[in-house]
Amino acid sequence: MNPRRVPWLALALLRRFGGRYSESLEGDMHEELAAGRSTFWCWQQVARTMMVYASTSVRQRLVSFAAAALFFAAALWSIAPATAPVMDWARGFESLRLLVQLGWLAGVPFLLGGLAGSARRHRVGAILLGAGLAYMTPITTPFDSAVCDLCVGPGSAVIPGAVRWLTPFGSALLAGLGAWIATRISRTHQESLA
Amino acid sequence: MRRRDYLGHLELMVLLAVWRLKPEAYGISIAREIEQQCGYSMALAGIYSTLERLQDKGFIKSKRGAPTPTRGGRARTYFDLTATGLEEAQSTFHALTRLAPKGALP
Repeated sequence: MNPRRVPWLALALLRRFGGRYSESLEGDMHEELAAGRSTFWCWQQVARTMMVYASTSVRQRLVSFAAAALFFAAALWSIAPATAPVMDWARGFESLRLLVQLGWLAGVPFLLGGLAGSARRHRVGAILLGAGLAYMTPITTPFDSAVCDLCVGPGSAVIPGAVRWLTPFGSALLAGLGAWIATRISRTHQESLA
Repeated sequence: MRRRDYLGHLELMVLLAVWRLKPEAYGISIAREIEQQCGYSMALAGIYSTLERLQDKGFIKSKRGAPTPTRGGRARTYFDLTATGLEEAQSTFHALTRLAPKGALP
């Protein structure tokens, strides 16, 4: 029987979020899998590694995180009225409307995740996490109207509760994908320099 | 005056586990020791992040072992207490023992 191997995605996430001892952590995972641990345990460790990374970033830079969350929430609330005419205009063009909505729902989280993934400092990570939190809060108006248009129908004002709360998770997944791609690019770049 | 770095609950547990396990203290062995002795199941990431903090405070030092095939070619990182770490572990442990009410400890 072939020994179990740490999934490649788990390895990539460990390398990014494992901190100073990511290599030792990676080796520990291999060792535990060889000793009979399950792949599910492996994924549990990856999830906890990411949670530890996020909580460390927030704890070490609590002021930056809180300030970023407040600033971005305020900024989004302020620019929301300004985006309404653009959204109304975009609704006239089917392809453009889709592009604008996808930009709000997928593009912005993807970009934030990519930036967070390439951040090498906890302060930058904390600011981006704060921004992401503010952005994905379902009360944030531009996000909300994009969810309305895309998931319920153009011009709709009422979002079903489940959609309202599940869409941010989809965006969070896209943010994770952005972070992962940024990590791969940065690692390849570093390897080519070495 | 330099602010003194106090030990947190987890930090003290990890520091004591490193002390107990040396020279074989590394991620998995520390997690296993804490689970066996205290009944806490700690994530490996939690252990390593605590070790990072302890190292930043100057309480532990690390040394890399040799890479092995069972670890996917990755080396173990072994941890050991510094003189300051040993002093801090002893003084925190004694302070806790002194604070405990009489008869509270067996």
